[in-house]
Amino acid sequence: MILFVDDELRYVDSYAEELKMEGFELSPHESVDSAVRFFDQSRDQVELLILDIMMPPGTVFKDVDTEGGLRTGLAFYRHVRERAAKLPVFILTNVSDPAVDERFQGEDNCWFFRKDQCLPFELAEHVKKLLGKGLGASGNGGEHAKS
Amino acid sequence: MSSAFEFAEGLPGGIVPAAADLELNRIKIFSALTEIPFSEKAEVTALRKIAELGHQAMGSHACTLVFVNLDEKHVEQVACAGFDPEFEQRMAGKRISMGVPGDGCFVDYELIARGEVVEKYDLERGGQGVANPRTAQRYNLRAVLSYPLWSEKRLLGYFSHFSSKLDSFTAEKKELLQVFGHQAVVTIERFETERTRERSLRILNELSRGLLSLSHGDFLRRISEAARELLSVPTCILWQYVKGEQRLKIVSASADVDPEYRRFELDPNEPNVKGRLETKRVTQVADVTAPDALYTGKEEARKRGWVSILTAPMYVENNFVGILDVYSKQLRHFKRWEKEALGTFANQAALFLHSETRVEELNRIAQEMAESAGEKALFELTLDRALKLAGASRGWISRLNIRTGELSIEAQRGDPMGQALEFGQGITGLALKEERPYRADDVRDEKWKAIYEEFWPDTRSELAVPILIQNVEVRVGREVRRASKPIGVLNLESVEPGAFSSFDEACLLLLAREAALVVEKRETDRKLHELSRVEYEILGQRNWDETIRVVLSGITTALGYDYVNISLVDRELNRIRTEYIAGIPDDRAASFKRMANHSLDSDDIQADIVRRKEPEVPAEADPRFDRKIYEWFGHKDMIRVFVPMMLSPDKRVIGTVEAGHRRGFREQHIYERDVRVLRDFVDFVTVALEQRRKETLHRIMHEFAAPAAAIRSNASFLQRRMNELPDHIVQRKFDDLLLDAEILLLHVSQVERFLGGQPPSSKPQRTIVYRDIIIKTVNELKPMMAGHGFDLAKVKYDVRDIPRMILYVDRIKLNQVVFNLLINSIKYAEDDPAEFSIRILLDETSDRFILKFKDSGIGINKEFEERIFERGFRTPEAKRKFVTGSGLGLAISRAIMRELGGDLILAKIFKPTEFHLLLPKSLREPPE
Repeated sequence: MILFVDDELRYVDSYAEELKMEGFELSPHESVDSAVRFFDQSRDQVELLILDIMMPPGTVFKDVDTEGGLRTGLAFYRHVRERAAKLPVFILTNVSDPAVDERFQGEDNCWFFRKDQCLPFELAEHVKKLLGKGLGASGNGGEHAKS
Repeated sequence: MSSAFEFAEGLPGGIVPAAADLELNRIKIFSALTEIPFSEKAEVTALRKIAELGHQAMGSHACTLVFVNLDEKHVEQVACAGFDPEFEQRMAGKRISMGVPGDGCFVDYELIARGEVVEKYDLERGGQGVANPRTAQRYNLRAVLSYPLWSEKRLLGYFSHFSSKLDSFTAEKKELLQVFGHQAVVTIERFETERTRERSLRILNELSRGLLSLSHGDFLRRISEAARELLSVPTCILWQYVKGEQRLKIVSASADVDPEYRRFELDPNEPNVKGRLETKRVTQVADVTAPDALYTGKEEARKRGWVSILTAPMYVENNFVGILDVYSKQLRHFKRWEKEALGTFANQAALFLHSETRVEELNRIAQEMAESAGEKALFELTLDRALKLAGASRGWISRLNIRTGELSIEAQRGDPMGQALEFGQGITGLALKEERPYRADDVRDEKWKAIYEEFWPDTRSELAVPILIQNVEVRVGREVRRASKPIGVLNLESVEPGAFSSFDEACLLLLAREAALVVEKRETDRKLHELSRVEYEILGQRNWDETIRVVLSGITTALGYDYVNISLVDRELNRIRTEYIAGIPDDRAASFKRMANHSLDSDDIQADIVRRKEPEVPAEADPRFDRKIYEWFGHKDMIRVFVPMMLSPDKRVIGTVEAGHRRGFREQHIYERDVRVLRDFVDFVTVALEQRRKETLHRIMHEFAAPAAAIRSNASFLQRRMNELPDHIVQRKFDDLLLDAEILLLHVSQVERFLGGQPPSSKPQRTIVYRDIIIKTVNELKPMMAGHGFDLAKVKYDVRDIPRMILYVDRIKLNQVVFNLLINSIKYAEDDPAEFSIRILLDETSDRFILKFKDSGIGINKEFEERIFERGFRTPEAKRKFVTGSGLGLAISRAIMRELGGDLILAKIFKPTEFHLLLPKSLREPPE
């Protein structure tokens, strides 16, 4: 199961459709509150997390410094890492700030993709490699990875 | 070794033109010559021009001008014409020693000091006491005719004509040289007068301040230093009269006065001393060593090289307190202003020597004044202390209103009787107008009849002292000049004739000056304090419009300007135009903005400020003003300062701030301190606005990224998968593509407006508003609603309204507004799809169409109901719902509705949140 978290799912619908057509099961969430709830309850079923960065902090992260929501994805990521250190995570975002990119470069089992540089089928290829055959250290369209 | 008259090789001897040409040429030269003292701004340039004209008129090998300093025994090269510029530059300002020729120098002191016409030949043989022979030989300087420059019996220097021939100088040459020499003197005197006027004002101001702040010894030392500096003399001696001993003793002297002389004492009854004291005036003795000079101590003076003396007896209320002497070491005839200046120094010193107790009292009062709370308290205190010092019981302090010229009474002691006066009216107004104290010993005297204005009927004597700051810097054009700043008048009256003395006058003048300085300091402090509050407020602002509102308010309320105009540069269109304005009624502001739009290449004042990059206070009727604006908006009655909005890293000017107020009866300039305060504030604002612009652009860019990336991913997905997808998914993807394209176009139009582009002119077309705009937009937004799980059926309108609203309107603009309102209703709906609803109603009952958009979304907090229409503003609730957003949508929608002749208002803030689109019914008719 892929946990897909983005506050505007309409904008990532093609990614979700592509993954579904490749046979992956998805649990899409538009709010971090419902996503955290789902993750905490169904942690063992989640094989991959696809995560946006800029999202409203919701109730669960209202006391965390998310820079007004600009870095909510980071708070979500920490929450997940504390509970599942090896869970693969794809960051899929429109954030172009290099500091965010760099923040994730040092993380294990974490890959960073910019939406304007990664098409739905390309993302699906990476997911297939990871969940089916494993993912290499580098690939297409602006992503980078460290594992 | 060089000489006073050293030159480079250069021009050949004069070329002799035809007689008629020569005459015409001379007329031109003399015409130019007479203008020089008045047309030139720098002394060196003026003297250089005289030398050039002399060179032309006399066909000189070279013409030169040197200054002579007999005290320090040197001459200084000031101007030279006839040689190559590089050599002249090397020689400019060069000092050459004078002495005994052959004894290490070539310029003969005795010869030069005589100050007579010098005519010398064969300069290459021995230099003849005026030149280095080797230099003369090298540069072919064979003969010289030098004319002494005398000013009021003071030798300033020489104007010289050099020849490369040994022929005798003709009478005509000598006359011509005299003419040029005379003009050089006039020119030097003009610049000297300007310099000394400024210097004397500065020195006297400093001295007055010192009286209230320096210790006894320091103040006495300051007097002698100031006198030496102002009068350019080497020696100053201050004698104090010790009454008990009937002797005059030195209490302060310049450093050059030796200890032995400092021990000397004078007898005031000695005939020569007594003679000078009895005149009670500043007098001079041209040569104290002359046998017939009325001077005691000739031998001592001779030993010390003192030649001329200027002496000022010091009296306070007819009591003799001492003497202030200055000496020169060469023969000197002091000018009138120099005598007056020494007299002023003597008065200051007299005041100090006469009553140390009173000076201490003044010192204490100055301290109290500095600590007083507020202007009112300051004036009350000043008046009380002034009355006490002068032993009077009635008086008042009036404050000048610089706009109206009225002198309003701010503090008063004694029964209120008379009326406030105006600038120039009565003894009070006159004191301020003429910037000096007025003392009337008896107001019933004939000489006061035409001037005196009765305040108390039984008053016999009056003392009016102006409260003003002298020598304040003001901005005139792009230059800084000096002027005085009137603040008010301190007035004391008495029922006794002759109640006030010159001593009272001197004391109150000091108090008044102190009060003026405290007022000025507080005024500046207040402005800076207010501005720091405004700057703090600006830092807290996150949106552009609100920042501008704070800036405008800061300039009007904190700095006191009536009118502010912020114009911004549009580099793409190469124009500068007014964007924000305060001080003009709203109904006229739009016309102003339309008119205040000029090319950056034009001669308009705003474009010129952008080019010149420095603040300016243009003169009345400056030709760079747009004539129509100048006349239509009353600018001819205003004084204005223009400040460029410049970014410091690359000095890029992004606009101008123009601030002004009505010309008061006396406000012909803006004080430089105010210009600096405004400039610093504009610098701060410029950086803040640029920062806001970048932040907003950054947010807008992000708004672009999401739909653009979505279009790309949807297109790619369709391209690869279309054949496999069921029709309804394909259709949904196309709907998504269309919607995202619409959203992108909406952002494009918002950015255009944000960047300051003029709104496109309206293109009305027949529009069935429901069908062509509302229903179309709802359909476009279906994917967004579906994405949130909202039911399309919950968007409701009355089909009977469709034919009721057929308008001739700019469909694209109105569509933008409707699109924006509906997308907001979806974006800011409650999370629970069951709560979602949008209702669109038409109200035709008033004189306008009211199209109501009601939704059941998260609503708008009451405190933000007006601010939601500000550019860049987003409510905290909106930010919680969607992290990003430009905050431009509602501001731009309202602007569009107003362009269409209607409006956009928020009618209800919560459950339902209700926006009303107002449109004139006249739109039902096709435009003519």
